Amino acid sequence: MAKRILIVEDEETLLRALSEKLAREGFEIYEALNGEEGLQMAETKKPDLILLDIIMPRVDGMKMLNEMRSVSWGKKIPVMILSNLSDDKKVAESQEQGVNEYLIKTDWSLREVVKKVKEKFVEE
Amino acid sequence: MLERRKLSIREKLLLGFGGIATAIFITVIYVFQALNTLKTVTEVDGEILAIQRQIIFIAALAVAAAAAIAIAVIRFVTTEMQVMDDQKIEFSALTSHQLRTPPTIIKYDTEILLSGDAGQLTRKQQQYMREIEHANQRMIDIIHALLNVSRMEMGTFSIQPQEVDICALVRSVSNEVRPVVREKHIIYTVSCTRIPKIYADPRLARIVLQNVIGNAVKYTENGGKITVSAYASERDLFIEVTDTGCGIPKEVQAHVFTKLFRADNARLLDPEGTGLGLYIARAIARNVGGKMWFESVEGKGSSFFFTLPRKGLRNKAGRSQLAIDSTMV
Repeated sequence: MAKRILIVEDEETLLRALSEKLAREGFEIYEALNGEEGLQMAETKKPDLILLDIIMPRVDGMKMLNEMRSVSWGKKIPVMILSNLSDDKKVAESQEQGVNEYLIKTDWSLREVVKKVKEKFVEE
Repeated sequence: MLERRKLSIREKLLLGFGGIATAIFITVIYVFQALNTLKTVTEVDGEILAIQRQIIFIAALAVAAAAAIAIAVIRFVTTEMQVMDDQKIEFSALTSHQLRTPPTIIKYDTEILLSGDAGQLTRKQQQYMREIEHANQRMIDIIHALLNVSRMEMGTFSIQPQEVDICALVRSVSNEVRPVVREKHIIYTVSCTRIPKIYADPRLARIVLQNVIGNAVKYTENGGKITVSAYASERDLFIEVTDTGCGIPKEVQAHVFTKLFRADNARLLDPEGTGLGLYIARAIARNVGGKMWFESVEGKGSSFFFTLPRKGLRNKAGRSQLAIDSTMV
């Protein structure tokens, strides 16, 4: 069965690019435009991985991550942060929530993101 | 909270010290008054003792008040400075985010177009698309460099030292430049053996190495020579990058580490440089307790040197790491 990935990203163009690229690689994709939608989607779909942006309207990525980790269904879902915010505090905060991949978007091509995602699934 | 007009730190300091001065002034007045009373009452020992006690009590009270005011002021000012620092960091972090988003969109979309996923491009279209991709990468690198400068100047970048094998780092950076070295038929030598591991921030050391080695590769013409060597003294680790490149004209050597400065001959060889690389590299070297300098003869080549302390680099908390260039040359 195809691995299911939830992408939470408020920039629609980026969301589309990531979503199409990963879908082409055979993943099943769910999309959310902010942390609030992301939380609902994560709860109903229970994806195998979440690609999470940080700065988003309504509920931002860190808040979504913290809220998700505070409930039983969300403790174990693997998360990769994909954000253009470089902030050591956020990196540390996400590590506390068990997130070890914090990628700065401009530093990674789509191809490299796909590679990273595949590596993540191999790890498990 | 931050919208209300706040007193400047100078105003607060003035107010605070004014407060302390007033408290001390009042103490002095009280003591004098008490002493005067004491003069008039000389007969009865018991009364003198009572008045002495009163003087000591009032003086102690006034000193305590002055100390309390001083502590309050210091606390107030430090909190205020912390708020300002946090605001600066917040601004820098958000700016970096906003600046990076548009080039990310261009990066993703050009990649999709070039991969043929959205339909095959003609050769001509591919060529234009590669130019857009390249220009966009330049933009990303400029944003990184400017952010590094601002983090450096605001002191908001972090230093995270750990045990580092500098030779491994030199080899890794050398591998990054290998394609260009090959293309330009440069004789590239690394001399780095039996160098003790040092306690350094590998990310910062990499940025410095990338800058200095990247420059050597950029400004050395086809068939030239580059040597990267490292050696250790008791206190420091020395890294030297020598090239047979275009060199730096004597009259501009004093400006080499100036922000945004680019020598004319360098500009001719590489119009795309930002003029920020060496400024950042030296600032990093200095921030981690090292030094950077060079020797150069125009038309013959340059040697850049930098040192890193072998131990004693302290952890420095900050909000952001410095960004590493993805394309060095």
